Amino acid sequence: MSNHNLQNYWKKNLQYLVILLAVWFLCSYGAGIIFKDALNSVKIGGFKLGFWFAQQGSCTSFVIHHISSMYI
Amino acid sequence: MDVKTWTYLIVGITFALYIGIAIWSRAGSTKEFYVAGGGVSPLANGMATAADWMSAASFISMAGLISFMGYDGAVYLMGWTGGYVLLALLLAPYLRKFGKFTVPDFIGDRYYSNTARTVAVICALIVSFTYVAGQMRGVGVVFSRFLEVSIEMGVVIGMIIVLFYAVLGGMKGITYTQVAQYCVLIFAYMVPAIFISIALTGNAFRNWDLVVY
Repeated sequence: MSNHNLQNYWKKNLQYLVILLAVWFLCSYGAGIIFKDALNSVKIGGFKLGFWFAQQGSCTSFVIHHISSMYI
Repeated sequence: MDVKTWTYLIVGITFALYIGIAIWSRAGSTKEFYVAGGGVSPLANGMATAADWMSAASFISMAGLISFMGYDGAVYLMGWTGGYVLLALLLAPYLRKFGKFTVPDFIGDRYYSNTARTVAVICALIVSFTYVAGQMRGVGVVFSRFLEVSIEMGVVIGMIIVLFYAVLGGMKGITYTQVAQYCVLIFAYMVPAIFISIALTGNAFRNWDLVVY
C-alpha cells in the first residue's frame, strides 16, 4: 500500500475504534452503572432494565460488537 | 450405579477426550506450538475463547460471588468480559498483523525498546501469576473433592494433567481441548441452572423469580 493509502486506512481504523469503544463504554459503564437507577424503572420480561444491562445486556452487546467489528 | 461411580465415569471420559485430542493435535513446529499453525477456523477459535472465559474461576468463584454479592457481583462479570473488548480492539489485530508470537515480543519490536519489552514481560508475569494462582486453587478444590485428597495434592495432580497436554499439543492442542471443554461446560452450566429453577419455582425457565435485586 502507498503511504497515502496507509494513512487513510489508519484514519478509518481509528474512527471505527472510537465508535466501538464509545458503544462499549455506554453499554457497560453507562447503562449498567451510571443510568442504572433510571433504567430500573423500566421492566422487560420480568427484569429491571438497568439490572439486565449489568448482568446480561452489556455482555450481549460486547458479543454483537465483536461480530459487527469483523464486518466493518 | 451410585453417584460416585457416575462421577468417576463421566470425569474419566471427559479427561480421556481431552488427552486424546492433545495427542491427536501434537505440535510439530514452533509455529504450530505458538499459534496452531494459523489454521484454526474462526468458529473453533471463538469456542476456545469462550471456554477460556468459562474457566475454573468463573465456574466456581464467579457464580458464588454473584449469588452472594447480588448486583455488586456484576462488576466482575462486566470487567472480565469488557476486558476482552479492549484486547480484541487494541491489541489482538495488531499482534496478528505484526507476525509475532508473544505480547512482549510485539511491544518490544513495535516500540524499538527493550525497556518497553521488560515492562510488557513484568505485566504478563503479574497478570498470568494472579490468574494461574486463582485457577490452580480452583483446580485443587475440584480434584480434592473428586479424588478425596488434600487441596495441595489436588493442585499437583491438576498441574501435571495441564502440563501434559499443554506441552504436548501447544496452542493447537490447547485450542482443540478448549473446543471440547466448551461443549462440556455449556452442558454443565445448563444442568444445575435448569434443575435449581425447577426445584425452587416448579418451572425450568422461570428463574427470573429467583433474582434478588
